[in-house]
Amino acid sequence: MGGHRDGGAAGGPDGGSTSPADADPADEKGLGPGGRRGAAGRSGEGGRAAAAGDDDSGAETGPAHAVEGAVDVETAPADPPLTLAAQALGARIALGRSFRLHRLRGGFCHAGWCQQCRIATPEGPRLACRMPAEAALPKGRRRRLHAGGLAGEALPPWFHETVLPDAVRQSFLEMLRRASGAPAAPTAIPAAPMLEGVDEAIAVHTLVAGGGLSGLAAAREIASAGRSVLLAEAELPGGRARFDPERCGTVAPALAAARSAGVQISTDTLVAGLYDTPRRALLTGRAGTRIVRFEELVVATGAYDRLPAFPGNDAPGVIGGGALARLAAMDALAAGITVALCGPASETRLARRIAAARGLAIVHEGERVPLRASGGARPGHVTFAGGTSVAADLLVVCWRQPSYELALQAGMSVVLAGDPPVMVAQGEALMPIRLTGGAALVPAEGDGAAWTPDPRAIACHCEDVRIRELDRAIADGFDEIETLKRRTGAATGPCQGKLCHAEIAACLKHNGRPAAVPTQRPLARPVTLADLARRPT
Amino acid sequence: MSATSGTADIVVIGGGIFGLSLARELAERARRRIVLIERRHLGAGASSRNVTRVRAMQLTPELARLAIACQEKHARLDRELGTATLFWRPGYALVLYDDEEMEIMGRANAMLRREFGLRTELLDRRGTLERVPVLEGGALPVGALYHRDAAVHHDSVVIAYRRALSARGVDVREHTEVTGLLVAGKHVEGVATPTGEIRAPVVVNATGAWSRTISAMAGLDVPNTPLRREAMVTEAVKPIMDTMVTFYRPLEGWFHQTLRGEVVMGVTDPAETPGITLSSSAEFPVRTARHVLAKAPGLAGLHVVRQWAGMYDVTPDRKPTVGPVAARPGLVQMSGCNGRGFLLGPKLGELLAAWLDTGRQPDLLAGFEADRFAEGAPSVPVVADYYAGYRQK
Repeated sequence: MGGHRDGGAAGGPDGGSTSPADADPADEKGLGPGGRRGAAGRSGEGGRAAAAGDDDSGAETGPAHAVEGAVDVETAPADPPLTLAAQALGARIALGRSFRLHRLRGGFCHAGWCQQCRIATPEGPRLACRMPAEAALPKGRRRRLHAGGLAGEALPPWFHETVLPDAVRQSFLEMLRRASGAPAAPTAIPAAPMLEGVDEAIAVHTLVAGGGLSGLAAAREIASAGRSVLLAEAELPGGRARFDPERCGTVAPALAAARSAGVQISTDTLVAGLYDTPRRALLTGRAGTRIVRFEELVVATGAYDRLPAFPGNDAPGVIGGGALARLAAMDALAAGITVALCGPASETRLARRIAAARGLAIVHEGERVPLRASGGARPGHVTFAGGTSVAADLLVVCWRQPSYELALQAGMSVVLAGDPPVMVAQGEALMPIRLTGGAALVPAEGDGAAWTPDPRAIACHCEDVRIRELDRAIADGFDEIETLKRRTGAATGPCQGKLCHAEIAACLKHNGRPAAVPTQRPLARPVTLADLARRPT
Repeated sequence: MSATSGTADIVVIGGGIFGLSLARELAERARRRIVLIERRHLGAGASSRNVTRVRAMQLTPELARLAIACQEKHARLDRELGTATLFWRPGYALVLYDDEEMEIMGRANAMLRREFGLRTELLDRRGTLERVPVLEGGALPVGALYHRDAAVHHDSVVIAYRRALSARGVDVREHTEVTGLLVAGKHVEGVATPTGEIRAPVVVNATGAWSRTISAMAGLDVPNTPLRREAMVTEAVKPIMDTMVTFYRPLEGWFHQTLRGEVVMGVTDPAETPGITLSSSAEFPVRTARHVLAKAPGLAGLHVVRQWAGMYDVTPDRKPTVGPVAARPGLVQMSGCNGRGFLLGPKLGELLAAWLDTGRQPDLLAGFEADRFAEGAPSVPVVADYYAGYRQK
């Protein structure tokens, strides 16, 4: 069975850009990107009429049992509420520290996948970009210099391989284990869910992962042909269009059309895993954890902000183009803050429109990846090729990586395309599968061969693995993806490679080895044990 | 690709911990021409999928005797190989939920202390909760059998062996699949690969769950059964527990926090059917989350980031099979890991290398002969499940 890729939708370049809408570069720095709004700000819940359990659109043609827990929404969603991560960005508070080098981290994607805005709570680590601003910001000052970080930088990357005398080995490892930048362990003890076994699977003909415009359109089309369709949307319907002032008006009609065609829509539902023997999907979220049997799969999970490797790309204040749109939609960007934009014109177009609408000052705009950035919790400096150096509150990088984890879980492989390269799913799959929308994006030019990032740049943010460590491991004979991953730890952290896979694959290619990413296993994104254990509602 | 032929003193099939350790020990004994053949990359099978517990506290005297020696080997492996394997002692508790289990484990405790001088402890409820605070709030344990057992890092061990083999000049051929054994009469005389034949007087089957496939190439039907086991892992957090936990009832389940801070866990599917598959299942994360949280609700807020599957190579009596195969001179078995391969591997390599070099079977390998399931051999008690085995004692 081959994977099928939809040709057009959102796939090509967006064509000629509209007027640049540049604001004059601000000669004086603003107070920072918004975040001045009080904790009692708009909750954003008002516009949503979440109508749990009254989904009346049952697919008569499908298996007799209705899909449990299908949660529908009456209208297009309103703007999302302000998140803790957005508030922290505005207040210039770094959220957490990285695992090995204790580098200050904010959030890059503000969409729940980059995992860099994790903070410790009594309940366990949580993503600040998923938490309402009413939650408490982490306390205490965050110094850029940190003893653990300095030690991490000073020690060679594989210092732990040194053989130590038995007498100190145990205490050394005990110390090492306490020295990481990992968030604190949970302290709350919730009631034990006394559940056993696994609930029976539910069956649909087509499972659609992702409820953006492409997913809604595909679901409607298949349901119209008389198939039972379950659409699982991790957030609310609309996808990227939710945050695009020019397109958000199209969400409600698309949603209504899908529903009237009989599509069952389950919001706040993640397709967390795909399995081929037997063919199943694992769905988690508000409606509990469900196992779904399906005949075919539509992957419409959109595209991620792609963060190319350059020194300083992990500084708080470096965000993706999609993140900018989300921050704007949650009213988190104060007029007058300064923004440096980079990325292809087709991708920076939305950012320029948002900047114009929100009164942001664009201080630099370019198509190239920055040479380096420095940030921390203060306005950063960004240097571009040719020596241009600007100070800006935000550096917005506008490249997009098609979401690929479900395609790879379904058995497809990837090739590199574009410059900076992104991964494009291709090849045979273990199940009938169709990619559509942002997940089917293919950059027009490039194959990653020309991409040679600065060796000092951090490729894997979860584990703080630099390009030069990847190069070194490859030179040492760990020159295929599975051994490289195990040698360096790259791609083994919470984001499971979404930030670094393209860089690792490109690094292998640059070193004359086949570009590849490690075997992709469920889960598609981290899910708490509590959520995994939850019964379907 | 033109087929070429070559010769060696010994061919080891399988680049997991069994094959790696045997090749390394043979090289230390100045065996000259050793060829190690691995279908994928070194450690690709169970050696990079296991959860690296190195437990001396086994529940039968025979296994305990071997396991203690195996743990001692692990404790000095870093010095022998020249690379740290992250050997440390977080401790290990078999957590018990009824009086009958306490009684059985009480006998095991007495046996381990008396016969082997292990400092195991039978903990009561309070002692158990002190050792494993994350059980607070969950199903109340009755007690636990505890020992200050060890863990290593599987990738570090494989990397340490890779280096050691490279330093010794062992001919390691990754991404090479053995497509057949060269058999003349009853004698095994080498292996066939897509890049040519390698003739050798000794061929070792160290292929774990794939050992039955390799044996079949020599016309042997060995009773090894491949059985999938699954695991999943959370994000790293600061230390939340030391002790590694296993509970056997009502389902076999386990969890522990790694040195890096992730919590690894798994609950066995009682209906798992034998056969080789490295695919994960959709049911596993749900079953495991429910079962583990019922006992350790304090872990509820941790995020699972990944699940995976590996293979056990299960023998009818749950013991390894190590040594020459009488029915096929030239063929040597080093299989039957039964989920303990990472513990056993380094020591078994040392013992088997000595056996092959000197012709004398080391005492520690008595009872693990490869021929014990052969036709005409005295019948071996079959262990339907681990628990039944302990119960007999």
